Amino acid sequence: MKMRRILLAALSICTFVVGALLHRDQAVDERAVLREMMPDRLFGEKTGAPPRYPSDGDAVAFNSYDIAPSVRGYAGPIKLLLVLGKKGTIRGIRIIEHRETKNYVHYLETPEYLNRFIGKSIQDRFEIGRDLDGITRATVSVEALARTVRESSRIVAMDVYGITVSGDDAPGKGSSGWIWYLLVFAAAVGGYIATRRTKTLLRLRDMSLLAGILVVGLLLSSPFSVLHVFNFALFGPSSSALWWAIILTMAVSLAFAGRLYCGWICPFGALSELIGRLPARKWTIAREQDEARRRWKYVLLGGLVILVFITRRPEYANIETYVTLFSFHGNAMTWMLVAFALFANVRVERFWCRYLCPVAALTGLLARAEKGYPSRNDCPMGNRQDPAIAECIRCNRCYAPQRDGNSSFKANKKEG
Amino acid sequence: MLRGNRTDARKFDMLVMLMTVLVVAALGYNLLMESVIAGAGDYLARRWHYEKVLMPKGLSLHKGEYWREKN
Repeated sequence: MKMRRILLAALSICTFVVGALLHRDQAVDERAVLREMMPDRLFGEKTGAPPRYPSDGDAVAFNSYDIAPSVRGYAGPIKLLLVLGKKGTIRGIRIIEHRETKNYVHYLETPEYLNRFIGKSIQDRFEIGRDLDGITRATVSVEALARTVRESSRIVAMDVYGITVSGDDAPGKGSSGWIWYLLVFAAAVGGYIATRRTKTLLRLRDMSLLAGILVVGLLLSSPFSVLHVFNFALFGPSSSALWWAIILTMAVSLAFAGRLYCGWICPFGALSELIGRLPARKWTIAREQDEARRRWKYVLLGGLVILVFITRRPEYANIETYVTLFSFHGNAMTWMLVAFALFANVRVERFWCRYLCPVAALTGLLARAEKGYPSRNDCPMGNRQDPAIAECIRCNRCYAPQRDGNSSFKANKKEG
Repeated sequence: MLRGNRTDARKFDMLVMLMTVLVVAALGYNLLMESVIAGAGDYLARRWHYEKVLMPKGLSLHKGEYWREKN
């Protein structure tokens, strides 16, 4: 496992550097976009502070990233070209660059949605659910888009036209998704601690799995994904509270409880496990075959690291089943993956988690080692006796505190 | 040590192979979607338009997005 960690770190650093060298910043031709956006209007050269393209004295165009670079979506800033009239009204809007996951934001990019900003004034609140429509399963991105428009256009209106926003107009508080996520995480941690103390409370985990499906999967559509890590490495942190909640809770759980996320929160893992409980005969797989195939997820993770860091395009790694399933959006290939990954659980417990899940590989490599998990015959991961800690999802069924360096839970062990 | 059932082992290997092929196909689709697949779709649309509309009028099929090169 140590060798795999070193390999992954070396691979990440090398490919990251190569990618950075290959892809220096390629600037978008903003004037060409403006010509396409407003063919009847002439814009001058980019000038002044804040930087802008003047046009006939009654409108200016600007790149929102020049004005408000701190506003970020899930994967870095959403860069917009905006045209602002001299009365503080938005006359044109176009997304020129973003790295949000396409599954969630495909509608956000359409003229149909963007045109809803046209005609809005800087005096408006740009608040989702009040004066702007939200998009289900894309809350973080939509809020980042609205904030980008609001903050950049207000700064330009004040600096160029001297218009200030009147009245009490504090920005909205944003979505409460992060509170829900923290509640689910807190419940999972509570259950984890309780089940380490007594085996009579093991059913708590089933409730946590259901909460994972309902809240993290269906309500928030925010299962942890390797895209979180790739986006963070390439574009920095998001300004979304939900994003921070996901990242910080993952870091804390890895440090103190290994793959707690996989065993207690992951909505796809939960769904897989529940399907695996259907009364159907499980395939008998030899230990060597099982262990050899489990290595494939590390190979897949390494492949994704190479692909993403060299191309600097996280969206290429968008093959994860939970992203497709809970965003309700994917292509024919990814939907087939979802279908087969779920169906496979009827015969092989947690098939995707065991053999192909890149999050399982990543969290397995980063998980804190801890003795006291010898596994037993009803292990939800189908682990054999004394498995590598990277394969343990901390369900606590087999947990036995270590006293003398040996597992004290041998009584429950059977070779499965 | 437990020995697996041979039939199960074969089915299991086939399932893993199928899933791996699907993963590779999904990655390939993501990689090629923007260039080859989108380009092929555009080409077929233009070809169809050419054969149904332009060719009967004796007009030629020009390269897509020729105006970009003009600018």
